[in-house]
Amino acid sequence: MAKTVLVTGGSGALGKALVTRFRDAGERVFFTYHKNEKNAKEITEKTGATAIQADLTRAEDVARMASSLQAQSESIDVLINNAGLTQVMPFALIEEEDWDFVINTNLKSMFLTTKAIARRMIAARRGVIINIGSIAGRRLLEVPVHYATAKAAVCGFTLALAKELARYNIRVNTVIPGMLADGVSSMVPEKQKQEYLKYCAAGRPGEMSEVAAAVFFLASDAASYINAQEICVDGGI
Amino acid sequence: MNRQEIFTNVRSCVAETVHVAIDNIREDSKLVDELGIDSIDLLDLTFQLEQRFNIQLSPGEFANRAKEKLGDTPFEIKDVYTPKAMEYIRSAMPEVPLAELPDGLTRQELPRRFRVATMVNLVEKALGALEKKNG
Repeated sequence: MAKTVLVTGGSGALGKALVTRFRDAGERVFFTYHKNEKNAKEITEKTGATAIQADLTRAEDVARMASSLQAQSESIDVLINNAGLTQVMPFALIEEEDWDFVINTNLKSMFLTTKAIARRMIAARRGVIINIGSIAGRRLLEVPVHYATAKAAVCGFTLALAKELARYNIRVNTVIPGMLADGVSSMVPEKQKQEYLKYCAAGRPGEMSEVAAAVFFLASDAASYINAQEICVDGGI
Repeated sequence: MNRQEIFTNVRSCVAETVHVAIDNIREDSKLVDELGIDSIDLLDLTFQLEQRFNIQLSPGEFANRAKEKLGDTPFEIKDVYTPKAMEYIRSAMPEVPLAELPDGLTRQELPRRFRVATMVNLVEKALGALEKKNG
């Protein structure tokens, strides 16, 4: 039986790869997008997934998205918290509004979405939640401080949530991509890219599909004993 | 739907959530201390109630209503309800004995005061609002 999957931030580069991977496997996929309607439409046309517009930093939008989902699907089996963004900005130039913007988009959205969707998983006594972190929150790298903070917090969110939801047969894991060939990584300045590749065992940036493959595995029953983990997909660094 | 019918349905949802025999659930049963409900169970319970009664229950609604009513008067300071907030809470939660709602109560302590009747009242209010909305 096809699983129902929700991917947040589905119109971005990694979001698109995630939607495509799950659709290729015959799963029923919903994805959210905020502003990029053109991309969302293209992904819908190409994959047959269903797009839902929402600003996930707003509780009203999240409630509307969850209601829409509930009207269209009896259950949600997999939630992938992928929505997020970064700003290339040194610490000294980060202003309060930049901090709030990055923290809210990466973290508050994850909290609000998870709270709305986990209720249905709790009721069904099953589910999988996968949070997308970043190497920026794990290694000594020249990365924006607010983005690194938000992505490091994803791991704490995963651990505490996994503990609380375990008794309802809900697994929660983090996937931590390294530098990828597209998406957020495309904003990384050349100097930092070369620095990363110098220490990366694979010697190349990762592909979106390689991260999507790890997420797909974690969402599958084959990963039934993997819980509260941080899986790095970074080529070895 | 009358109050008794609402209670019967709420009781059945509570029983499903915490796996307690239905006969052991009274209107004045304490959700946390007697029935063993925790915060995640509360999410589960409110979701089940929403499904059962076809209503929307927002956990933050209670605080939002109180804040609206209090206007500029603070509702809580560092997680401790203000005396004005406590006045509101006491009037909004008549099912909880006054002795359990003293001044200085914290946000973390309030859910331990919830009774099954608290849920019955919430559902009753939500059904009333829905009826009003639908004319």
